[in-house]
Amino acid sequence: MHERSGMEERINRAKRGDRTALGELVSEHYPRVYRFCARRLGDDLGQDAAQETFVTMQRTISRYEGRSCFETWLLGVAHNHCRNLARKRMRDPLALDDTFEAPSADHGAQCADGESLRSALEKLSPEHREVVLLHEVEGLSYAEVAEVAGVPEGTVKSRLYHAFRNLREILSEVPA
Amino acid sequence: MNEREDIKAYIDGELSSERANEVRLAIESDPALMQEYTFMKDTSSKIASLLRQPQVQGAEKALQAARPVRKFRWIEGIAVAGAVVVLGAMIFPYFAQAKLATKGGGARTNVATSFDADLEQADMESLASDAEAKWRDEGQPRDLGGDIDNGLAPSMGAPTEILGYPRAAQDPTLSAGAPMAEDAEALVRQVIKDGSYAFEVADVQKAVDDTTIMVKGYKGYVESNSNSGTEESKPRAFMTLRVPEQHYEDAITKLKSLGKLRSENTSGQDVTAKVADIEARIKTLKVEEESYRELLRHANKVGDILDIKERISVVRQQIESYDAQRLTMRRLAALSTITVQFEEEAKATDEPKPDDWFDDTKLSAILMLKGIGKFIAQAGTFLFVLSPVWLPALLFALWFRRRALTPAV
Repeated sequence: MHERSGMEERINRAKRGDRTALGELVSEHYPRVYRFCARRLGDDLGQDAAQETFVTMQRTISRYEGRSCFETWLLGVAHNHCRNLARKRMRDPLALDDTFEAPSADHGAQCADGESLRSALEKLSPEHREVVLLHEVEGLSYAEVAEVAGVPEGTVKSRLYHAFRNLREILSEVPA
Repeated sequence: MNEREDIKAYIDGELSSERANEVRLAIESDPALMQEYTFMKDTSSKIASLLRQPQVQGAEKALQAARPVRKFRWIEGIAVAGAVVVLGAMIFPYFAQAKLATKGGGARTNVATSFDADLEQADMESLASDAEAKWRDEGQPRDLGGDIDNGLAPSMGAPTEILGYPRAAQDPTLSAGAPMAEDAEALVRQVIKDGSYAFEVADVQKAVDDTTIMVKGYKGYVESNSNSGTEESKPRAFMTLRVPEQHYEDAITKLKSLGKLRSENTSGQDVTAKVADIEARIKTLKVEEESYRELLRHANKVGDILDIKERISVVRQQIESYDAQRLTMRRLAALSTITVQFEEEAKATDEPKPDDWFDDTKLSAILMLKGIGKFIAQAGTFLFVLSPVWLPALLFALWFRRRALTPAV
């Protein structure tokens, strides 16, 4: 509760142009935003996207009304920047090249190894892959995924279910 | 409701407790659902365990970038650019003109600002026509004419002042017994001023241009302008200027600053008394005309009618004639005439001085600066005039970009 009011106070100060508050917000949220971007675009491009996210944050923080979690709002900005940067670099904005560690052999004991899982995820449609990434990889709740992806919460729930069903089908076709 | 579709939400804890209980029971009772549940749970764990944890980098840069952003930065930028363009448009021609003048050796000063050059020809010539219209308005139709139309005698309920003069000064019937000196004092002086000047200038065309701008600045106009000059003879220009009487002296002062004065001839003709005399005659004739008209109304014989009409016609012609004279005199008095002759200075035949290269370079630089200034001014004008076209598009693009980058809050 105290932490939340502290955050609100920092955001209000940042809205008034308080540089210290802006710095605190950056320090607090940069690691999360950077990892989010780096998993999507790789380290270098992810760094650019993260920095652009905070530049946008400074410009538009006055429009943030506090109806949603600040970090979710920030990840929404990062999500859009990642998509724009990937488009500029002619990349798939939902590529999984930088999302996972190189899989090792013991990961596929029960359902599939890491490589199979990764290739199965890549075979998902962009809409399904997006919700899987935001929920499973970034750990966002359904409501947060809905806000970042700009779709209703029910759609997120449905897409996740169908994404996992598809994953199961894809993995079941892979020879053991 | 289909429990199968809620298995994932159940795993993620996104269901209400009641619904979660229903789904749990369904999973426990149905092996197929259990299998699906197990797969989803395992896969979620797998994905989490395979995640890469990138080392955070670039935080310093992000912190450096964390500085307050001034709102409407771009609007301020446009405003500053606009101000620079306007300032440039004002200063460059002025500056270059002054520098070019010094090159010619004459102590020429500025004649008018660049904005004077923008005055329309119609504006420049409007003063004479405005004045003429004013005289017409203030002339016969409103004074005696109005009274006559109303069937009133000039002395009955008539205004006490006509054209700014006391009525007595114009109406002989009212002026009886009034001293002439008082009338003369009450009259506004009407002096027709003429001046002829000859100058030697470094650049005849430049002097003509400067003079034209100056005259326009005073709301006067160039009545005539002619140029001459061949390879053998020096360039010359002859100009006849019409300048409002109140700016006559200022115009002469500025003309003298354009070059070396070679000759000067001025004259002034006071036509105040003449104008007053003409106006008095007009008034008397109008009274006479009205009395003839009164007679005409009561005439019964054809011979009398024809005779009276002929007399009215004669009186009307005299009134028109005097009126034209009055207008001409007032016009001449309001706009003084200045005749100017510009002749190019004899060029030095000496070898170029050692420091001429510097002056030439300076002159070239000034000319280039003037060109750049003109270009910026033109570009600025285009941008300003076309702003209804590009500004909304720019604003929309900025708004759209900002909106695209920021999620809904």
